[in-house]
Amino acid sequence: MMKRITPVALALGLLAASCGGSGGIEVSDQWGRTSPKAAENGAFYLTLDNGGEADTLVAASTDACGAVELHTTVMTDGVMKMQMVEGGIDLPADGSVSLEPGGLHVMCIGKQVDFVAGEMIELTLDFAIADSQTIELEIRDE
Amino acid sequence: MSTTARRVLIGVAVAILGAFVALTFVLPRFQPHVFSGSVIQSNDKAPRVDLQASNGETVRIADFEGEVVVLYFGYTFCPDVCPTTLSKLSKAMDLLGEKAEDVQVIMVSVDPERDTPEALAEYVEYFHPDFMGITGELSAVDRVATLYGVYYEKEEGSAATGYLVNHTATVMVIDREGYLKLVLPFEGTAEQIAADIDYFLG
Repeated sequence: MMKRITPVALALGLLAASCGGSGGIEVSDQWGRTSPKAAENGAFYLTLDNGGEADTLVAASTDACGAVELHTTVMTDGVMKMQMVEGGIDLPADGSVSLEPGGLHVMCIGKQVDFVAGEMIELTLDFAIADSQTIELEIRDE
Repeated sequence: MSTTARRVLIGVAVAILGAFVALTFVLPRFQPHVFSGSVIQSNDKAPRVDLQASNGETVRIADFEGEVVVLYFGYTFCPDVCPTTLSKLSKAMDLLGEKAEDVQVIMVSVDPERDTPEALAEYVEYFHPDFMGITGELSAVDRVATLYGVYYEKEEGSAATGYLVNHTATVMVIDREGYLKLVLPFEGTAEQIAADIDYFLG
């Protein structure tokens, strides 16, 4: 989905570019889907805007899950195949990557909390180069 | 304003209104429905294979003749594609309103090893109280999957996941007579799914 570039974002982008593009990694649109207790696992989605050099999201972690893995869903002729992303999710320099339903996602294995609407989850993202970031994401109906 | 002028004005207003009604409400009814899914011509009726329903009963897909069946193959361990699809199907049922009473959404588990009828019931009913989950002996699920051209296979996962199941992620629409009519892609929206199902409800 294309994000409309607002004049403010454009101005910020130009500013970041003029400063040598050391904008760091910004996380936005982070969320997880509500799910029944019978569902052992869950998925988190988010967008990573990388204003700096090429980097890699190597891991994610949270107390809300027994284990966390970076996964992608590949569709071939209608057959869905979920795979662990070996080596992490590449973030191109001055580019953005979206983790969305049916594609890249953070897989939460063994939910430790109920994924009910409004639940807030702290997720720590580890990058190859940039500093780790802990973000809050909301569980919501979608 | 003279009486004639007023009559002409009213006449014009009525004509414009008539044209608006015709264009908005009448003409679209004569246009053929454009499906978002792929239309299938199937000669095989819904199978009479005994399966285990999430409500504890033994069911066959054929039992639902008379209703439109929306069939999906998935598993509760699946965190991304299955909840996304069931959530969309739930929204599609809401869009159909009262007509949804003639629709039965069924998720057949491609992971009967892990999906007990109880877990499956809680899982599907979470998305919509009228959704049904089906599991069964692997051989029975296999026969039904094969009939609908659904492929699934276990694949070794990590220490945390154990194993994952690759599976066909399309949604199948079976008409009231029990014939498979339509295959909906994963990408379809709730609105497109509802419109396609609505066509078979007549």
